Amino acid sequence: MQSKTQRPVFLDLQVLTPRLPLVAILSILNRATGVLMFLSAPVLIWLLGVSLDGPAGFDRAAQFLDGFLASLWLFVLIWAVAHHMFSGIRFLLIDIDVGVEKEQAQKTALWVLVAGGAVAAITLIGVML
Amino acid sequence: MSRQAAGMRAWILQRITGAYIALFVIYLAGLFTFAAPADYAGWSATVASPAVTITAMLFFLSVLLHAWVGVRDIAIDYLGHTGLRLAALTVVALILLGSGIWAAKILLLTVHS
Repeated sequence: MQSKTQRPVFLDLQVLTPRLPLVAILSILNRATGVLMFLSAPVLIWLLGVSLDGPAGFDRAAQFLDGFLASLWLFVLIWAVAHHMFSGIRFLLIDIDVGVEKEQAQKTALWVLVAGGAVAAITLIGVML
Repeated sequence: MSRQAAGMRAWILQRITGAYIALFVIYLAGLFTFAAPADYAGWSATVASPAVTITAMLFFLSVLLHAWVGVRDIAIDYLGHTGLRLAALTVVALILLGSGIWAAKILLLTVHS
């Protein structure tokens, strides 16, 4: 009975990659920022409508954005847009075979994280100045 | 819509809309950074200019399509139950269509009235 000795062997390869790689974190962040923007879209459209509803509406929209929670939301949203955009540019480059290799892919993943963070930092500095 | 957005078409659509959205976002970032509208008169004049109204309409259409493909991908990955997935995607489609019509109404009626 040769078949008995040739049963498939289960190799638990998960143990070889114990931590979440940077490229995986980037993939998750791309989705998370995408969902955040999807959920924010109706609020932004509402704001657009209010801001264009006469001078009083414009002031109301500006007043809304001055609130702490709204400011925090807008700040996170600006980071999300920037991060998602850099992440998307990285995907476009991978599509045309740029940065496909593991080492490069990890390097560009780090660049995307840094670039998104830089936009957020510049925004914060700009608001405070 | 899901049948049309399947596979290769969705992949291409996601990239074309993504590129256009990126260009418009860069324009928006420049506008709000270097020429932020100070009052209603300036803001409404900016939005009412034909170039901005048309490119903004295309932007909202792109976002609608881009969000649909993206959220649909996520739903396919995480919502295994067919009925649940269908229900969730129906809600998403309604939100996106409603948002699109709402945005078009603002751009066409509020500004150009």
